[in-house]
Amino acid sequence: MRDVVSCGSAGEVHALRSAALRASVALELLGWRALRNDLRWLRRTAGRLRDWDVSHGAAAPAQRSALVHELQAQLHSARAQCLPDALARVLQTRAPSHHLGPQGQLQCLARRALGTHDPHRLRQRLRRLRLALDMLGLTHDAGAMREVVDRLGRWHDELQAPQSSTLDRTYKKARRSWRRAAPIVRRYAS
Amino acid sequence: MRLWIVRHAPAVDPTAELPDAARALTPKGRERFATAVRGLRRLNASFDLIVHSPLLRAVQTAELLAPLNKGTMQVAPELALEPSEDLLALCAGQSVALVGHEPHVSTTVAWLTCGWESLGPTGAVLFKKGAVACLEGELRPGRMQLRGLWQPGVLRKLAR
Repeated sequence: MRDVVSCGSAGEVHALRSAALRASVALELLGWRALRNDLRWLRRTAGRLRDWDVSHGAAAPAQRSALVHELQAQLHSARAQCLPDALARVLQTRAPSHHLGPQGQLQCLARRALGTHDPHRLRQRLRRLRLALDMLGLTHDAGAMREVVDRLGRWHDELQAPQSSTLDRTYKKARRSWRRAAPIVRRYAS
Repeated sequence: MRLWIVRHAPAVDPTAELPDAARALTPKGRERFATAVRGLRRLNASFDLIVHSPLLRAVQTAELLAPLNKGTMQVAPELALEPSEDLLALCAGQSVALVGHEPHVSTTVAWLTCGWESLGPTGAVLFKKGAVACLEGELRPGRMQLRGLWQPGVLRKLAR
């Protein structure tokens, strides 16, 4: 967060959003509901600048600079400033009493992934599942999720440029990798 | 609107090694407050938003209140300070719970009901750890009405 406040480069914004997502998945695995909305707010706040970077690249630096200032102002807010310490304290404590346990949380994440047919949502939910599998040391299954997430991501990016000649091929590749990964997700969901 | 003001449940005592912000709820405090939450459910308490202080004991208390929450949760350092207009600006919803600390919770009750900013050194509202007050009315100092103040023992009895 400090890096984004000082510089606001595309890489730092991406790192901030990734760190917030990882923290959110860690809280979910531990069964915490508190602070997850704050992390979502942080991701969405940084998401506006990230969307700009994806769609405009290096074009129109003046408009990007306005978005950077807007993000920096949000990161200076009391809510953002207290979040890292509050998060660190929560992650050091034991799980709440209603906690289902990591396997139960994993099951919830897998069921959520199976509960959508929208490719964008599927990608978001599989990304959370991948991070959870990674955190639990299930790296082989996490790798299968990563492949689908990456391919769906590539397809999603190509959708922004509809003249792309490879759109169909990219979508077919994403579908193929999802067909391979779906049994793994079903295994965790059951 | 309805405002539920909650003082955090009993936490471990501070020590030289343990910073105040990192004081966690005691196992007994957690268990008792979980029972008190069942008592709150009997009172038909439900929230659109839970705003809590970033101090660990308040985060843990808010987590225990989460089953009564239909909306979102938000951390707000304003709850670890004297009540202010900034705090009121965060309360977006028809039924909002604020989870904080003494002396600020009792000051908030007095400020919103009577418009006083300070009640003197002892405070006029007894707010045990885990106690809950319910205010109703317009969210402005002196414009709310105290509808209920339940000490934790009463809430636990309601849960039975």
